[in-house]
Amino acid sequence: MKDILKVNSLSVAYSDFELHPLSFSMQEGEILAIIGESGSGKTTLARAISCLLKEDAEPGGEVIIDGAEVLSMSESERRKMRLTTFSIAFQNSAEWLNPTMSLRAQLNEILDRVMKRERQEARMLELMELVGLSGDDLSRYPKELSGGMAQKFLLAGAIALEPKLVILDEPTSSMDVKSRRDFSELIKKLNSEKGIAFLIITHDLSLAAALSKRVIVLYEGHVVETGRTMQLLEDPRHPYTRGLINASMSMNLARDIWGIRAADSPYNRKGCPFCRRCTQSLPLCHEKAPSLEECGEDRQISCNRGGIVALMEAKSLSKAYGKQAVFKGVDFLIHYGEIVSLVGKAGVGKTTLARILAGFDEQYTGNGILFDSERADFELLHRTKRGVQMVFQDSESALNPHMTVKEAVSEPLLLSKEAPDSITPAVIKILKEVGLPGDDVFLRKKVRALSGGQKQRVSVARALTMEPALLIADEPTSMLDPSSSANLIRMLKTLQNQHGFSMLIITHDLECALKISDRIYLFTENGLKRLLPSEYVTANLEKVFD
Amino acid sequence: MKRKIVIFLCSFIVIYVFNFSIPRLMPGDPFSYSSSVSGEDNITDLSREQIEYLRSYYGMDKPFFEQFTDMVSRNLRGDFGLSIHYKRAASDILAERLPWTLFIMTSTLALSLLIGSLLALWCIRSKRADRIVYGVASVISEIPPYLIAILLLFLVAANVRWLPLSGAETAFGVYATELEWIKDVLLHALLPMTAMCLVTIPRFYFTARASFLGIVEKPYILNAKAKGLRERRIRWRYIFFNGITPVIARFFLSVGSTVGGTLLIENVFAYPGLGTVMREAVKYRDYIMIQDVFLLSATIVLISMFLADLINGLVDKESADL
Repeated sequence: MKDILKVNSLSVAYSDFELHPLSFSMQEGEILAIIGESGSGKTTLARAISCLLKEDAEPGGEVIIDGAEVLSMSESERRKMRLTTFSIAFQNSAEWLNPTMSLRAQLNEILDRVMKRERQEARMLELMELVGLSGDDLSRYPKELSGGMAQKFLLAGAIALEPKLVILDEPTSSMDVKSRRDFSELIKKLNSEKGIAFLIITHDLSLAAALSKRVIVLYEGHVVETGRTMQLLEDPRHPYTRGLINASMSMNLARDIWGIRAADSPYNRKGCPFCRRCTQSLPLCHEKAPSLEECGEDRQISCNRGGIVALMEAKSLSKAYGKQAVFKGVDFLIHYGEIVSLVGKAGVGKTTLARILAGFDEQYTGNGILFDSERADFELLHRTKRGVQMVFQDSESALNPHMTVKEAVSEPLLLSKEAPDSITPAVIKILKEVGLPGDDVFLRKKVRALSGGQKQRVSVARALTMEPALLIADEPTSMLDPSSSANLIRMLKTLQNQHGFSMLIITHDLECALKISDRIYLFTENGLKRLLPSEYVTANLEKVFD
Repeated sequence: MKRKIVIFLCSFIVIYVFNFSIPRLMPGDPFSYSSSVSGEDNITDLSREQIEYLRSYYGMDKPFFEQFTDMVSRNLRGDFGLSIHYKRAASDILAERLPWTLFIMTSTLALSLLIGSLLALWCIRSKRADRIVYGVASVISEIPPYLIAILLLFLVAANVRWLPLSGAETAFGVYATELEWIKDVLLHALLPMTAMCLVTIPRFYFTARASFLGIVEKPYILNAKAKGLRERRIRWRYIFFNGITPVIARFFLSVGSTVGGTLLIENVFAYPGLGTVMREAVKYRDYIMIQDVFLLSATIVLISMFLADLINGLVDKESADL
């Protein structure tokens, strides 16, 4: 198949923004989506391809549309290609339309290029009907249009001369669910019936999922990941892609949504653009920008660490008490910065597995447990920062009731031989983070005098003092009333989002797992089975606006 | 709308009252003006009895308030009094002079609007041209028009034989055809109009420039380019057409300052408009004439401001709708 669009090391430099050299191509009749947050350079890319950049921007590289390089063309040559070979439809707002011209006049202006006025009326009606407007709307003025109507009309203009490529810039922003679905249908129709290729620039992942075959993920003007849409959305390899998916409401119907943690400093323009928000970044990432590399079929990723890194990996774990097997052949994998839930019936051996993964039970068979690609030395991991910590199901028995709060929380720090004068401030800070008072009275309080919720928080605080890379929580909410349980879950997720540690939650509480997990595994005697929320959570929101 | 009409009527009344009182508060009166006009011949000395007679003839011996009510009732009947200096009905004199002033004024404004907005439209294409024109316009617009008029008189008219130095037509001229008369009139108007235009063109240029630059930034201009429209079409149908309304409002707003400018310019070129009448009227404390000239120019300004207000209102409504 012929390429309709080929972009070769296209770069754009503004005074305050840079689109890094990026290359991709699109076949005739293909739908490609470019996704990213606002400020990621999506719009700059769309304008660069359609040669509509402001004068102060300097584009470099090549943009080849239907065999012709357009960047180096003069505008008068390009004008002949506009609308006939390629076109762009802007975001849904009447601001893109001349306020003093009726829709009819605006279409006349376009159709004048190819046909006489007498024949235009029929074509106009056809176009209006195609995009879902009526012929009467032709006499309207832009200010009489709603956002959705403006979007439809802009699309009508963009396809009026049947170009081979249409660029859609944030086509569905501020559309309701119903119009969004109608719009998707329309694009699909135009694509299959007229063979128009669409380049969709959007932050709406579900739109990309519904329409495109391939996706390019853009961040701060860099391509961070590309791949086939379904693969990329189900199994994101770049931490940024994962973050985008986690932040998308439409992709997470049951789950709580969380934005990617904010950067604490501006991009230094030499390291990886995402490293300040990444939960797995190394000092190297601040110095060296990664390059886009192939990883698997039709998949590219730009990450110094080769994508989301596995934090803990275990293969074929089996456990038996005497001759009676508890479970066998469990393969387990958790990545940096993610929350994984293991759900299962009571008595299936969840707690046993949790204790093995946390290094508190060495009586198992299997290939051993890898932590950060090395054989896990739990003796060390428990006593050093960025290691493994566990919050036990029963904080009542996990904490010594005769200790004061301060003693209980600072114990791990003391055992790890932390400098004594830094311990008290660290304890106070962590107590505040878990939502407990950090004053003297509370520090001197005996553990036995605390409420259930407070004890659970103290347990979490105790684990967090070691700034673990992996926090394993066994039924963290089972002893709590609904409100305390909600507060604790939110607090854990907030801390996880801020600090970026990984969390393994063992629970029988499916709803709770659905709310906060990046991945959920069903635990049975025969191992783990991945549960995809999309397979058992559905919502028919479109119906609401029907 | 009703509110606007009331406001403008109130303004008119205030102006009317001021217009009546200010000449009467000036030192001197029409019959003994020796105090302020220096270096000019006083007309005949009048005896005390003669002055008394004239004062009562013109009703100036009456109390201030009574004079005012007299004037109002006369004005309402369409009688604008007898000029003391010209010894003719003031309205006749004004009717003779007004067309000349209006001619200079409106042609200046129309020409400035045209040139100013075209200049602005042209400058949008080139940053360099814009910088130069903007700089020159900024300097020129600050010079008072009468100064430019005097400079033109000395530097141009004095050195060019075919350019008349003063008046609106050749004195005692006999014209074979209408066309010849028109040519003569235009030739006489050339310098006063040039002097006025030099100052008003920049004003229209600034307004048009700001408006057009605002339009250029609008998304629909980018979309017009994306549609592959010709540059000329974008410039005229998109930028000019959508951006000209504030410039037209400027036309009416400028009437005020242009009236002032024209009155002064007329004196430089001895142009027989309202300006020369006003100067003489002030010089000779011709109360009636002063009042009428000022009243007329104030009315012109008020009406044009009212129109400007209307147009701006339309613009605001349009942008509020968007």
